[in-house]
Amino acid sequence: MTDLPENRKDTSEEKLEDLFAAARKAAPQPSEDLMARVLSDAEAVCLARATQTTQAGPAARFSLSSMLDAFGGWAGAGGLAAAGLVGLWVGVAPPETLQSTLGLILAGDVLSSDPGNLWIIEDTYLPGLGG
Amino acid sequence: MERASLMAQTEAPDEVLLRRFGAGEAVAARELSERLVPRLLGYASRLLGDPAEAEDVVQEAMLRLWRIAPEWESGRAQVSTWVYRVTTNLCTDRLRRGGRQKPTAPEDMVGFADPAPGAEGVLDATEKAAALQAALQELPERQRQAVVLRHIEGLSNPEIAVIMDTGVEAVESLTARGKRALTAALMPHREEYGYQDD
Repeated sequence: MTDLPENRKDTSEEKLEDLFAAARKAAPQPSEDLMARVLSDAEAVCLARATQTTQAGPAARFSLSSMLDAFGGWAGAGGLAAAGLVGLWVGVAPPETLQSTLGLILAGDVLSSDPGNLWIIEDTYLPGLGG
Repeated sequence: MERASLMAQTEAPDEVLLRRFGAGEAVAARELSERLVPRLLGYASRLLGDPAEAEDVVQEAMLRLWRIAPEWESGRAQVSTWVYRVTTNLCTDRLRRGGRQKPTAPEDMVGFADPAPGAEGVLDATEKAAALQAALQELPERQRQAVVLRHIEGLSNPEIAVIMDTGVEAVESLTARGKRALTAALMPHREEYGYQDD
């Protein structure tokens, strides 16, 4: 590395700047072929993205929104989930009163032709309903 | 000057064009390419010394820009800075993959003029540019990147720091050392460039 005397630094800076300016003027210009390749890539990327949107987009919307719509939206889906959990609980650990009722039903004591027997069930096993 | 300021007022920023492209407006790619490709090609040509190879690098850098367009985050970086950085990395990869730290030798360069002096013994502008290129290729890779970005591409030191993934002080140091080395390489030939001793 050569260190120049102070009085020659300014002039050498100017000369170097002159060469930089010449380099800026002589910068290679992109050929038509290069521009065509770049724009062709852009078009291909744009097209691929549009294709992905039309193929994956509707399927994604179907799986999410149409399923929710079928259950009545998020609230419906929540209700369905709660009902499922209650059903699971009843199946695994049924309340004693339910077991007794089920036993009566299976034994035929309740399923008579007399509609008055239904009140027996309600009064006996479902006191919360005003029995 | 007035024309330049008028254009600055009417031209959409690079980021706006990139967002429009990301939203599916393919025509925005043309305007963005017309702005960026010439600059990137000049830069890559000076790093690699081979305009044909530089074209491949620029095409790849622009392809990466097209792909990232939909996910582009506002304020994350300048589009030009981002794509300069990609170009820098692609050039470095090419030079290293080819087992070279320097661009193609001057005699093998395509697109750069022969730096031999003309009939009058004084280099014209094109020949000066070729002589500078020959001196640039002798610089270490990082110095060459910093000098080209600062003094030929005209970027600011903070922009160059982002592109080179380093600090502003490191950029200043690289640029200063690079210029000293260029001066040392070119001064013996100063009379050929048309300069007399002061």
